[in-house]
Amino acid sequence: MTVGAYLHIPFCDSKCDYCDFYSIVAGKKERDAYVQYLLGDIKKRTDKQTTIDTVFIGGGNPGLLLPQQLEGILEALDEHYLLDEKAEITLECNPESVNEATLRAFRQAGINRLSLGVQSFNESLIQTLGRQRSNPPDELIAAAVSIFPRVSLDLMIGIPAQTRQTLQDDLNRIPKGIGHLSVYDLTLYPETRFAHRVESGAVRLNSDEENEEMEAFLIEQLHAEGFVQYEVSNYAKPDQASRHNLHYWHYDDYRGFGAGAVSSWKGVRYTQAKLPACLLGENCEQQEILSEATQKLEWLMMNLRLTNGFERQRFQERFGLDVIEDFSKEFDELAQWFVITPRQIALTPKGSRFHHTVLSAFVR
Amino acid sequence: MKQKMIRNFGIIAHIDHGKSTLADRLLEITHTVSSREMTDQHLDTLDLEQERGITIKLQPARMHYTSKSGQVYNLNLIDTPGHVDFTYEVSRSLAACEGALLVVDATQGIEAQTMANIYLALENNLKIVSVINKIDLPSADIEKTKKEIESILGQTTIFPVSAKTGEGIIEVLEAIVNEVPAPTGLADGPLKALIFDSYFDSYRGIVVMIRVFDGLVKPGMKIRFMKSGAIYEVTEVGYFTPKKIKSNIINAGEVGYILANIKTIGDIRIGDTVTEFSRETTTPLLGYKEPKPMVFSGLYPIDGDDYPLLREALEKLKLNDSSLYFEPETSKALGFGFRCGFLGLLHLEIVKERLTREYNVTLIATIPGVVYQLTMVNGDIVTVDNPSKFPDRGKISLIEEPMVKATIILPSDYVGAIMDLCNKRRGRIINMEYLAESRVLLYYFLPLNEILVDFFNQLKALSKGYASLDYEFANYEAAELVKVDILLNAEPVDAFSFITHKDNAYYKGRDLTSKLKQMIPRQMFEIPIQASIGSKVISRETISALRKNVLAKCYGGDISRKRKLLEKQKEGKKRMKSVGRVEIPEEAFLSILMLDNDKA
Repeated sequence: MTVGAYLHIPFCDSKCDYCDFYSIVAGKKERDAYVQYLLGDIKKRTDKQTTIDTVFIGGGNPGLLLPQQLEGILEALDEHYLLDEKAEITLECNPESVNEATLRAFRQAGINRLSLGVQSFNESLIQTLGRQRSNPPDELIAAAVSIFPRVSLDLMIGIPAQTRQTLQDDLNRIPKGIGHLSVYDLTLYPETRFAHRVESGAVRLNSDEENEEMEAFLIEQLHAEGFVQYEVSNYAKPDQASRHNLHYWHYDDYRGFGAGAVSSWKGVRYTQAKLPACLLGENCEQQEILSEATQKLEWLMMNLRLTNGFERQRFQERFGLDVIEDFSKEFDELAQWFVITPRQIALTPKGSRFHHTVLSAFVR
Repeated sequence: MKQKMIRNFGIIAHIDHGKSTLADRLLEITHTVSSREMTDQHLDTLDLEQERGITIKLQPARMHYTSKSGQVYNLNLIDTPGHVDFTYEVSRSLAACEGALLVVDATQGIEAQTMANIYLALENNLKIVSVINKIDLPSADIEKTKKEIESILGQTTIFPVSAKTGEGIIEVLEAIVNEVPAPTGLADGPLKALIFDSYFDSYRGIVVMIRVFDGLVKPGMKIRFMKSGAIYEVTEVGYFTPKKIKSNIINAGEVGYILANIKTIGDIRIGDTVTEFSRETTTPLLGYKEPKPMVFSGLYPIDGDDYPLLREALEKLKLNDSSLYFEPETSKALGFGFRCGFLGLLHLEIVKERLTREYNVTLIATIPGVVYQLTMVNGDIVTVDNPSKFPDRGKISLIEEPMVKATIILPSDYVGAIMDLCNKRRGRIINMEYLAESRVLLYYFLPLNEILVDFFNQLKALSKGYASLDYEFANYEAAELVKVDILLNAEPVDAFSFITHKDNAYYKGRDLTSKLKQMIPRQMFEIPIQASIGSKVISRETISALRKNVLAKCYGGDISRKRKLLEKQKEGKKRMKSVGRVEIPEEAFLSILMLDNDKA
């Protein structure tokens, strides 16, 4: 069996105002202790039958780890699992916390794909988000492109005061060597500092129309640059798609290590204990048993995020019958949102924008 | 028990004047209910009543009281509702009594509804024992309250009590024994009993509550309900304490219940006379005036599958609420439901809540309306109780609407504000009197349709809660009314149509379209909302199309959470009604009830 492995590093230098992700601000001592725990977690769940062909080290900000810590983690994976020598190994990283030398060391440690959270090149927009940035990220990105075979950037749409012009400036500053972009809408999570600022009227959100116009503009520009949309929020040049994330979207099983990390394994979803319980060795892993109906819904929910949808054969192999037969009523009623061929099913571009509405009709 | 030892009495009081508390004290002092069993407001059996602290359904109780002269009396208390909508129920319970306790709050004085009920009691020739309650409160004004009662009843013997502390209660019991006349029916005559209430017991069938005037009733007796003609054999009789207690017989003058394996709801009519089959009375009781529903609304189950359940529930409710009227109707927007007639808005609200709580039917109620009389161009006279059935304006030559004569009692400080409110609701003042210094009685003619929605709340708000209202039907009057339709996505939604005066149509139309704009979630397409009179659009709003609905990030750690969001979305959709392509949340149907009437 071949799966992806996710390793969670729940630390940040500081917490961004809009983020509701599970991460905390911690110093070096806590980080060392956490890495020890992570190594233990990998060891505890040894499985020499399983090949890992993608690794994603995400956070938080894993760029805060030392190169030798990363090396240790990858070694542990290789020791307790079968780590494919051609595995895609991605490190997520805040450009602020690294320099060219650390990037080289990360590459040495085995990282072959870097994902940089840029959000925007515009200083004032970054401040609006409550992120801390002391230098423009351009130099660091240029260095990353020269060091790593594959580099991805995160961009954000919907930041208050963002305009077509700032977006154009962002695009102009993306070097040619970048092969992958994730473009996210700014989402208002309740109880974040950013949400409070919006509620209090200190920050005014763009209108949906403004955001839609910017998004359309961005997509057009990306197409011109040779990026192809392959998922709701992701764009790639040929052969640059994230193989690790494709595991999720194909609804493959995956293993998650570290605080709060999630695994899906043979119809059960496991969630590891969060900090500090996990450090204290408390065993409070949660389990959710996924019924066949739930698995089908999730399978469709994930696969239909992909621009090209899925091959019907794959659904048939997994669940034993053709998806159109299984969901005949739903596909009948929602026919206008789908492109259906004898081999393949995908959402239309508009259907894809209403992914949540369309998929909710598949809930039984 | 001999009739001369029996006293049957009701209680007349305004909401919150302490009627239920007084009843509690009577039960306690006569040891009918032990202190251990005592819960507050013992005779309020509906959860709804205990929660709201109001009495809707009367609940009889038999008490034994040993008077100061050493005699043991059998006292039958028949509790009564105190709200403007339930005059009918008050008359039901009063018809079973010889006397009534008038309870007036010493801090509030007499209220409009109480006056109406006093007149009802006087019409029934009941002996009234007047009680001033809450004398323990520092703000009690016993002298002023006494004067008010005197000016209305001409009575001077008035009993100050505190139902809370028990002070003065014995004196009240003595007055009941000494002043309320004993029943004087023919003990050995043919059975003549009044049905004053009934309810459905899922184990025992229909329980019929009666007051025996002549003769007696006991198990084994073959009885006939004189109006419905139904014949049954009595299987059990008994009385209430207020618990149901089985006994051998109910004699002339007594109050009790009968069981006779009655399963057919239609056989039992409140106000009917029960007599012995083989020896019928020749003088059946007059019964009650059939209550006329004044307010109409469509009730629809949110889930169409609940329609049979709703029918059954309405039938059961009608059993002890004969004022409830219903017939099947179909709405294009809401599907199958019932056109229901109510005595007033509180009655509507209570029926709706009982249907939801006791029968688990989730409902949408359409805007409450009244019955209009239309004279058609061709001379036909038509009555319409549903805006969606209103004929084309061109075919109508005259529209008449029901008017009520409203009595409002209030402190003089608020007269200006209340007159303003009545004028805005197209009211005409009839008269204004001083009941006492600083207490004013206002009489108004008001269109019933104008006081249905939010009038009572406004009245209370503008008078800091001090004004009270009573009304009775007066007559039909011509008015320049129009029907306003609401179109969603160019399709009329019948459930949103309403009738209003032509001068208010524009404001109400605009108010409703803007409320609907806020309440209907954006959908995948643009939705125009229009208010129109005939083909003329009087206001317009647009719900812009949802631009997208997709969760940006979805990776391994998010799958469960995102799936649950899908499930939640689907769950929310179940609580929406689809009209054409538009999905309308339940709350939108309520928004029509919150239209601001007083902007115009």
